[in-house]
Amino acid sequence: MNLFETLKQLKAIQPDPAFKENSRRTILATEPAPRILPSLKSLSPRRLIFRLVETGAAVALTGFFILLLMGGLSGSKFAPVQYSSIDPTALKAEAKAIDIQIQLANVKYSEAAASTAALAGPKRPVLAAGLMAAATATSTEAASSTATTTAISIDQALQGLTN
Amino acid sequence: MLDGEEKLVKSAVGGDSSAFGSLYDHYQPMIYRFVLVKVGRREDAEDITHQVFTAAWQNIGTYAHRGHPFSSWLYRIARNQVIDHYRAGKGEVSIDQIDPEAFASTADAAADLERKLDVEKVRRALLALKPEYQDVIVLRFVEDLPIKEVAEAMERSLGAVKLMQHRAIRELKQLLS
Repeated sequence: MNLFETLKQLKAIQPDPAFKENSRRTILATEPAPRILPSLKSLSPRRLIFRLVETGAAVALTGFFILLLMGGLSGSKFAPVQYSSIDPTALKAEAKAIDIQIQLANVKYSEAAASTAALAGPKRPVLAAGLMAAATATSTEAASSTATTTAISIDQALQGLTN
Repeated sequence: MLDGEEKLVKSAVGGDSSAFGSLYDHYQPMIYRFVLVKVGRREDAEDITHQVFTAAWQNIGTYAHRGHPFSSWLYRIARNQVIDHYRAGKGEVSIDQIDPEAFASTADAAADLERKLDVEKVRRALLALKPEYQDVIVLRFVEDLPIKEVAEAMERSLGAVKLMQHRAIRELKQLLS
């Protein structure tokens, strides 16, 4: 027996024509269900509520993250982490204070170096140290009016050369 | 697939009963055969086939055409209706209770006694298979549907259908030997 040939013969099965006609007439006599939100209709009330909450939560979370990305909470009291040191006014003040301290330290160093060189060194290094100190003092003076200047005058420099 | 099926389906989805009537005329015999092989009794097959097309017409508004033949959707409804039929306890029937007249036209087409006996043997063997194996055998070898369409009707992957087909044939041959 050829199995596949035999299976093909099952295709000859036909429904009773009278049944086919009656069934067709009965089915087509009814109206199909209206197409109003078929997907929502098929949901149970609990499932529907769950879907609504799910969608709402997704929208809210998306909005929250967009707000976070744009830095929307950084200036408000609702910010998750408060960075007080990021306050721009405090930062500016802090930066100015650091600048002044550096300038004062430079001035003190130059002063000490110049005096040491003038007392102990040979002629040329003294001149060099004197000029360097003068230059430093000039630049420091230009940078900040609050810095103490220890500039060596031209006369002092010439005197250093003759000695 | 029926000629101009997409247009007919579109009209039927829009509520055109004559378009659905054309789809019914084309697909009703296929669904009837599919159901009859699975339930074995003509009355049950007629009832289930009627329910399949009633459900299809009532829910035609929810049908979304995704490039698959309309028959895939009908077969899915038919499979579910057959499952419901067995769940309700209506499908508890022994092979000896099966109506031989239901397959009378097949026997007439076979034309000789030997063929008639072969068809009867295969039909009984089919009923002894798992429902999924029955589906694959009927859709693939009786209705000649391509594997892709069978996979769509059975909501399985192509690989799964190929595997099921292989096992179903092997089991059917064992039953017949």
